Amino acid sequence: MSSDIRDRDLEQSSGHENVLLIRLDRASNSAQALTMLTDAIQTLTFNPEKIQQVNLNVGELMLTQNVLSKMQHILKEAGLQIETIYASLPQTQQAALDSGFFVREKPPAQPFVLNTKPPSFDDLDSIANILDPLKKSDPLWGDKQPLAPPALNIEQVEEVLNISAHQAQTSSDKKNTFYLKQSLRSGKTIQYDGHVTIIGDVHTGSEVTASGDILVWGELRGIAHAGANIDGAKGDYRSEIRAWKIEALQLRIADYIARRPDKMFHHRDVVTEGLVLPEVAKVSDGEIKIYKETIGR
Amino acid sequence: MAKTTKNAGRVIVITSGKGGVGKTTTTANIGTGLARMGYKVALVDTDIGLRNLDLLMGLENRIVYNIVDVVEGRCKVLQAMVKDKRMPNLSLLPAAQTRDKSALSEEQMSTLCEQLKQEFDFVIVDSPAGIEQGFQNAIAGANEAVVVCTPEMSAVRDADRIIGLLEAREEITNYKLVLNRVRPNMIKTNDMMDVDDVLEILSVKLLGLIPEDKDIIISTNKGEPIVTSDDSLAGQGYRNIARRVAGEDVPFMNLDAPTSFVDKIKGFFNRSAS
Repeated sequence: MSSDIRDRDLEQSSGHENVLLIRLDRASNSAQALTMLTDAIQTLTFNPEKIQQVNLNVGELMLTQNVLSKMQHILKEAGLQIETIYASLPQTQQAALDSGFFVREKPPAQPFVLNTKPPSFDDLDSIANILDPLKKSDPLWGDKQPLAPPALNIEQVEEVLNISAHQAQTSSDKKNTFYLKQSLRSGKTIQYDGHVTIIGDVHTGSEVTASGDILVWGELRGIAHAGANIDGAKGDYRSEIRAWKIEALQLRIADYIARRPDKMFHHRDVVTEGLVLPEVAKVSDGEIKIYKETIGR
Repeated sequence: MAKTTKNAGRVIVITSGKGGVGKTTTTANIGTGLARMGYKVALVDTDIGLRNLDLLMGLENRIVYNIVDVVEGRCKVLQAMVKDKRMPNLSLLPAAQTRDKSALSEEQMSTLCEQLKQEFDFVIVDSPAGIEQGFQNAIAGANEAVVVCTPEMSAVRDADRIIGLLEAREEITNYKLVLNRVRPNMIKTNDMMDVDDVLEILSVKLLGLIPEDKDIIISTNKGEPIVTSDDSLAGQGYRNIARRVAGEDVPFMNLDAPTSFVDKIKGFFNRSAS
């Protein structure tokens, strides 16, 4: 079983050279998953100086916090830490969240590389193809396709709004938030290394770029780029964009880009218990999707 | 899609001086018209800060890079070109919305046009209103110009000023007039300047006439240039203009010709009465 594991169940997560992806999704119960993990660690050869973090794909397994902490223990002895757990079962997701791990439903469908230069297209056709609609996979919003973000210009913000965008950031979890209490009209840009909160609308023709999350307390109709690559800092595809209504021309999260469908059918207001639910855009299954916000429900 | 000829393409600037006379509409329609004829066409929006050409083409949601990203070296020119969703041989180089006219210089624009005309048969440059930096940038790389004017004194006066500036530039070898928003009924009742009056005041050659057409508003809002609509008079006007730009000899439309069946009947009775 051991050589088998090395070949199939262990792979370096694409784009994260220092993170291992260990697949336990073929285990049928938690005991088997623990055995698979132990085997994997024992048969695994890796450079402990380079690789310290592990992403676990547990698939549809039902795992308790207790089992997760055992896994954490096994990995800790090998000098490894769990970064993200990919779990599709809500109970497992909750357990993993309670244990303090990042939780995703599935590993990214396509490998992608953060912090790279934009692809060079000598051929005119290729850039257009990238933005051509692919498929209608999301019930709320059509076409998405990853693309490298455009290079960013910090001075623009400072010019327009007199904000110092160069804020030293040590940890991605401790980002500062830029708070703006006004609507953003066409032509205005905000770029900020951290989260951005806007109390007001973001009009078509304006752009908001943040290395963290974006929250719009109003309608989002311009371009929003969350988890952006600012000043060479790594972009983060886990960033999210929230607004009362997302009718953005384009949404970008890290290297992903989604454009508004050419024929925007009129916006749906989903009313639940008399309330219009706000919307959140995030990367899921390798593309940007818009969901109705359901926090606290 | 490759260029149809090996020669360098033609760079044509669409300008007017006065705002709101239809520069951007004319750019979108001439470009689309030429592309329909099979030429490889690039549209360039130089109205930085107040861009609209993307909207008229219905391409606003596809813009990733713009002309300022190109001149500031953040991407290559062909990378910034947005391909039209209807025709693969038509592309748009959008202006930046978040900058101003000073983000581009005449030298940069000239270099850009040089690059583009190696790749395209036609490079159609949409100029901003005014005669300042934005206008100077727009005409910097052009060899030909189309002056857009409406039959109003203010537009004619501004067009005259623009033609003077164009004549002063050696690089521009050819310029012609597009008279937009012509209302034959008002001309008949002497409420609007006659086409010949305008041509005489400006002493310029006519490239084409576009009648006032409410369908233009609809097509602008839909992001579909009117040149693609077969049953519109304005669309016919732009198709004729595109053919003339390409070098064909097309007779001018007779705007007085009755268009509807009822008009024809009326015309018949009018003729028999006189």
